[in-house]
Amino acid sequence: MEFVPPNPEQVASHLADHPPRNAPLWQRRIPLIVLGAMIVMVLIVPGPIGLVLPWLALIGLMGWVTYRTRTARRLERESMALRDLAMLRRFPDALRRAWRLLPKVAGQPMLHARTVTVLAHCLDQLQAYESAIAGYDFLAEHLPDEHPGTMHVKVQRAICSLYAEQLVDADDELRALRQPIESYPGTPLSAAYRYARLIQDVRTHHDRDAIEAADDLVDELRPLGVEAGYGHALLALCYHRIDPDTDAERLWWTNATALLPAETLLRRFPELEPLTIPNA
Amino acid sequence: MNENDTSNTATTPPPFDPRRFERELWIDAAMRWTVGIVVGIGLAYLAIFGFASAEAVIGLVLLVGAWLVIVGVSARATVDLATITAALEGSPGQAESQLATALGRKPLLRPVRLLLYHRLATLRHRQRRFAEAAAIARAVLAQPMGKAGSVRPHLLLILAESLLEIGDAVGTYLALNELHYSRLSLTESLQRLAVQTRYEVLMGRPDAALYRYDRKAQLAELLPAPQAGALHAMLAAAARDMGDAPLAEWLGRRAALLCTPDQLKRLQPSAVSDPPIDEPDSPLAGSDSLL
Repeated sequence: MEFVPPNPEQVASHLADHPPRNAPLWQRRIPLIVLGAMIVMVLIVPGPIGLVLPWLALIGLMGWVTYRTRTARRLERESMALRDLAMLRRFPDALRRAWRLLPKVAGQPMLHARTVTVLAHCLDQLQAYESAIAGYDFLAEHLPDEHPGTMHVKVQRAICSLYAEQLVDADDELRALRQPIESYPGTPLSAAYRYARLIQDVRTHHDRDAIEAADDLVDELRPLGVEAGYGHALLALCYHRIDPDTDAERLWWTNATALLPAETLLRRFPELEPLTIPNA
Repeated sequence: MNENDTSNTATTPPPFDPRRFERELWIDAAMRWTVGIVVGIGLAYLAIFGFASAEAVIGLVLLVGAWLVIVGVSARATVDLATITAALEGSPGQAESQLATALGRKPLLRPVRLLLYHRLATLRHRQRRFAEAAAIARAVLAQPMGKAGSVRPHLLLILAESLLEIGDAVGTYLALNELHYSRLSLTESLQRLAVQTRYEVLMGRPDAALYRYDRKAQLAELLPAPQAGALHAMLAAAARDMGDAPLAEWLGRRAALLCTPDQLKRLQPSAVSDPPIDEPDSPLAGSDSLL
């Protein structure tokens, strides 16, 4: 059966059902409560019960701490395995696992945020852009405002909006991010922002603007790794639309296909099709 | 912040000395045993005077106090570990200072001290103080690691790369060999691939470096861009040594798109001293060829 990613409503509902939560105060104070109770028991409970109960409480406390530690370690391992799956681009498997892991990590906000990040990233890679936006929205809502991770989430959300042709939303987001991003030159964050601006130019047919701003594009997109290939391909498309089959177009397309296969580029941007046909 | 950041470096750990390291482990163990004996005496005292008495309460308080001494000091060092790990990336000066403070604490549980030394080896490796990084890694690896065993593969990676940097090919081989028998995470496997490829290129074994090059190039894509570029450049150098010009050109093109010559020099100072690639420019910048 073919894998179908969840729709935006399903994602939003799953996230709303399993929000991150801190352990209640009483749970964090259990060791102190038990120690206090032990002393009280020694002092006030007479006879053999008073002798045995404190030691039973101590053993119980140690068992509880061990259980909590083991659970935390197991969830951490599961989270790492999930990240590895996503890194290996096994997106449907990673998505399934993130979906199932989410309720279990609700009590650990850091792991929860990591799981939602993988979930949204997988949806993005599976081209379920509106579902990915639901995931990124949730993260943006729950992460501190000035955290670099928050900005990355917002840039990724803007990129998904552009993929999904939600151009007005994307424009607002990119304008808001412009200034804060300037503090992170040469990072994957600024590269992702630069890539978002390029998609925006292509989607709005500002081909000449894209070309004029492309002097340092190789350097600016470099932190994206092979994903920079999408940016190079989009610039080739800008050249193609203005004047097909120029040297510049061929050079940027060669760059793009050195990093990513043409089929991968086309899967994300079907409008690149003319570039794959010689002398189109 | 950069690696030369010297803010907040009022204290730094002294240069690594294996004998002092052994001594610290011995002192930790001795102090733990002392506390253990105190607890034992306390229990004996309770057995004599009975458990349900004022003496029992004193005994319990003593027991809990002794436990807190041991665990509390290590717990503080464990909290430091998290902040040191975060500081390693952005603020090495701060990491250095926190390491000096944390390593000065006694008694520490053995895994905690070993983890602190692991962070020190990581810091020295990042500071390119390879001889010291290798010495720390080797000393820690020689100890039974117990609960600190999860960092063993990373220490082996630090050891392998540091030894390669200081020209100890035999030591590098042994560390790489041990890594092959270790259970590695995906990130560690990728790092091992990078170190091993570099080792093979340096040892004049381009055939080994190029073995399943397509798979290696695919895996390299999973690394951060500069490291991915450096690995491509090493494979390109191997292809050039094997006389496979088209493959060298393709790998070199990818390397140049993934990392700058400066990054390449910093990441691979000796493996690929003369990269077979040019810095790609924008076609608009008027370069003769893009790559």
